[in-house]
Order: sequence, then structure tokens, then C-alpha cells
Amino acid sequence: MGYLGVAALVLAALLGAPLFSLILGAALLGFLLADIELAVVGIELYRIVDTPMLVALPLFTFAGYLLAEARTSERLVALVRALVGRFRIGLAVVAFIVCAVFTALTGASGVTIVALGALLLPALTSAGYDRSFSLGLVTSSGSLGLLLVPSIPLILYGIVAQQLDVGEPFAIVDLFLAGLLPLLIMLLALIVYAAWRFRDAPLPTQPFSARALGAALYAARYELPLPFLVLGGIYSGVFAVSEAAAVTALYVLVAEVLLYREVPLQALPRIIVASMKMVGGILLILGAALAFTNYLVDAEVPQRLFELSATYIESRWAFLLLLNVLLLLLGAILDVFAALVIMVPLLLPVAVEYGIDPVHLGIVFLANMQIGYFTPPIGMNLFIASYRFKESLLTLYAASWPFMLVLLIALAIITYVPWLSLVFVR
Amino acid sequence: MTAIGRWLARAEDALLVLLLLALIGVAAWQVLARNLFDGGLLWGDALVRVLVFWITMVGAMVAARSDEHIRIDLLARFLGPRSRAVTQRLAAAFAATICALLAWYSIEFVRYEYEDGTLAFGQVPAWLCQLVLPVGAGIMALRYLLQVRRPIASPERSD
Repeated sequence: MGYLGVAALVLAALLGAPLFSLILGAALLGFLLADIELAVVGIELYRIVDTPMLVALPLFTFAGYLLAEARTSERLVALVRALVGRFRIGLAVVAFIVCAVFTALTGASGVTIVALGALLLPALTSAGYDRSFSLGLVTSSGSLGLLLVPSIPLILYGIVAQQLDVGEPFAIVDLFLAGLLPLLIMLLALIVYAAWRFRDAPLPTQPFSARALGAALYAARYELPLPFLVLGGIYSGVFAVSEAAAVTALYVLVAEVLLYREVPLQALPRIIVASMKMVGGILLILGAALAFTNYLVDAEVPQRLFELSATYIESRWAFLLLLNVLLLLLGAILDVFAALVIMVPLLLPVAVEYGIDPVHLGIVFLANMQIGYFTPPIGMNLFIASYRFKESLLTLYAASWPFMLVLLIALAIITYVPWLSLVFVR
Repeated sequence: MTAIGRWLARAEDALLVLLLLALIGVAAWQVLARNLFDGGLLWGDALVRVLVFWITMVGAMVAARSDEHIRIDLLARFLGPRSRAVTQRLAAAFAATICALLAWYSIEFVRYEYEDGTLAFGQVPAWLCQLVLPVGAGIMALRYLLQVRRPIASPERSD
């Protein structure tokens, strides 16, 4: 009976059944085998109501979709360009920073490549960067910023990890603090790579102009308070994360619809439905996963996994290395949300037994996912970029592997120097 | 049938819009009231969390409508269009079964709560807030059932 059920689930997974149905199926099967009344799935799903942090999800997602709809990306590029355009590889730096900020705001769902790619790719190539570099940059930076506030995958990691209640307890804000230095390491590595690659190339620079900066600042006048509101509010502790989300959603709504008037009122229902469709999908998976996690913990699966791995892997460092390999593979295959809800309940308890801090694991986990997004042959960003820029997948593989190498080096540093993630937290 | 489907789709969309606007309104009001005059609605936080649950279910219904739920389609990328149509039907049948099971067993859950007479917030009974679970799962089951009969070749993408 049990084997038959598992076989049916595996088959359904291979056929491409929706993820939520697979996890719900697994939870139902587990409860059935453990002689627990199946009505418990209803109770477990309804526990979404007991998790106040989840309020942040629909609110941040809606704000991100609105920002993507307005001309925020153009203003962001103009502003950062006015600030660092005078440096030799200024435009590449602009592109990295803007992609990171935009991905954090909109989630790594490919919006960055679609919305910013059209803007950055021609700007980069016309400024003298070769097409391969430009393509690689846009493709690989479409997931940069997964570690920056208010990244939704980071919030989700926190919720799943808190549910498991192993290791040293932490708050969601701790994750945002922990992500700062690792993101900075990644940005630095990328900037050094760009500087090295174009060390002899004649790249035109844009002389600093107070007037251009003033114009860019003025153009972004309604959006400028937003980062201070969100980052300042959360990091200073004035707002809880969910409160910051409410303020952000209201603020962005007012700014884009009433002040900039770039998003017409009639477009709102379409944007709301598109964004909430995504939120519904993610939260349903999360709810199902929370139910399944409870089953796993009851069945002591993480405990057995640790005993199994302890017989083969002794040191924490060897475990971290294997973890990276596993996560990179998963990141290429799975959507980040799927990877989070499936793997964190299994990996976190094992990692804690090896003495790894849950906050550090979250950062390592998402750094891996970020690279997995454009890992050949099937990272999602490669497909989106191929579709968006009408380039063959092979061209994109060739364009993005140097970026992958650079970020892998950054990943190694982030993995083996836990201090980077923990200095502001512990 | 198509007329009912279209009417239902419009109702789902409208409900989703109302739910999100209500969420933004109440959640933002709670923050402002708390910080400005240390007040806020007594049942505001509970309402906000129930709204998130409703958004989850209605959003999931809309996603099921256009078959846009996250899936791990490893195999599908290597299949031709004909075999893909077959796997899509089978996958939809699986999803329909699970949704139907969820609908059936969550009716029991809602009935227990109805008999207990639990209150969610204010005078609003909990079962009313939970009703969206069996109803939503039931409609999702129907949506997937329809896709078994006539799978969508290229899902509508709004982004």
C-alpha cells in the first residue's frame, strides 16, 4: 500500500503534476499510513492563518509587480548611472546593482531579465561591452539579490526553518542582516571580474554631472523614500517585516497610480490577479509543505537522514561541500520555492547536527539557488533569456559560464566563512 | 458550460481584487494606527490573516484555471507535443484527484468547527472563514477535470 502510493507519487511527479498536489498527496499518504484522520490536512492547511509573517508575501509581491509595470527600472538605471557612470566599468556596476535591487523587490521569477534586460542589454553593448559579456551579465544577474531585503525566498526559508524549530532560534530580520555581506561579496567578485575582463578595452565613461544626478533624483522623487522606508524601517526595528510590507504596498500603490500616473487604474485588476495567482500557488505549496513537514518530523525522517549521513561524512566542512553540490544541482532542476519547501525540512535538521547555524544555512541555500538559476543545461534564467533576447541556448551557456565561475568562488567564500553571514546576527 | 466557466472566472478575479485591496487597507491601517495613536482595530490582525488565507485559495483557483501552478517539468522538456498532451492529461487527472480528496476531507474539518462554534474574530464564526477551503479545492478539482478532457496546449502567460 505504502510502496504503491509512493510509486504513484513518483510517476505523477515525472508526468509534471503540479507541485502542491504532489506534496498534498504525500502528506495524505503519510497520514493514511499512520492511521491519522485525513481531515487533519484541512487543519494543517488552515494553519496558514497562524503564521502572521505570511502577510508579507502578497503585499511585497503586489508591490513588486506594480514597480515592474511602471517605469521604475528606467529611473533606477538613470540614477545609479549618474552616480557611478564616471568609473571605467561604471555601467557594468550599474547593471549588477540595479539587477540585485530589482530582483529583491520582484522575486527571482524572471521579471528582472524581462523588465531590465531590454533596458540594460542595448545600453551595455552600445557602451562598448561585447555582446557575450552583456548577455551573460543580464542572464546571471536575473537572480542576483535573492539575499537582499525583502526577498520572498528568504522570508519563506525563515518560515519553514522556524516551523522546524531546530538549532538556535532566529527572527526573519536576522536573515536579512545575514544576507548583506554575502551579497556584497558576490557583487565585489562580479565587479572585479568585469574590471579584469575589460582592463585594456576602451570603454567610454560618462563624466560626472551634478545636473544629470539632480535630474535623475528628481525623476525618482516619489520612489526614493521607499528603500529608506523598507530597509530603514526593518533594520532599525521600527517595523516588523509584515508591517513594512503593508506600508510598502500602500506606498507603491499611491506612488505609481496617483503620483506618477504610469499605471492606469483600469490596469490594477490585471496586475492584482497576475500577482495573487502567483502568491496563491506559492502559499498553497507552503501550506501543504508545512503539513508534510509535521509528518516527516513525527516519522523522525531527519533523524534517520542524519544517522545515515554521519556514517559517511564526518566533518562539517565535507558536509558543506556536498551540500553545495547537491543544492547547485537542485537549483538547476527545481524552482526556488519548490527546493525550499522540499529540501529545507530534510537538510536543516541534519545541518544543525553538524553544528551549522540555521541562519548560515539559509544564506548558503539561497546563494546556491541563485547560481542554479542559470546553471546549464536547464537553469530557468537561461530559458527566459533565450526567449527574451532571441539567442540560442548554446550562446547563453557560453556567455554565462564565466559569471557562474565567479559566483562559485564567491559561494565558496560564503560557505566556508560563516562569519560573513553571522557577524550582525549572533 | 463555457458561460458558467466565464462567469466563474470573472467572479474569482473580482473576489481576488477585493481581497487584496481589503488586505492592503486593513494591514496599512493597523500599522498607521499603532504607530500614530497606539490604537488599531481589535480584530484587525486576525482579519488580515484570514484575508491571506482567502487570497491563497482564490489565487490558487485562478492559477488552476490556466494551469499555471508550479511544477517540476523535467520530463516534459524532452517530449514531443503529442506525448506531452498525454502526460498533461494524466498530470491533470492526478491533480484533480488530490483536489477532490482535499475538498472532501476539509468539509469534515469545517463541520467539526461548525459544531464547536469557534469564533475567528469579533462575532465571525471560524467555519465561515474556512469555507473557502472545501469550496476552492472543489472548484480546482473541476478545473483540472476539465483539463483532462481538453488540455491547454500553451498556458496563458500574463507576464
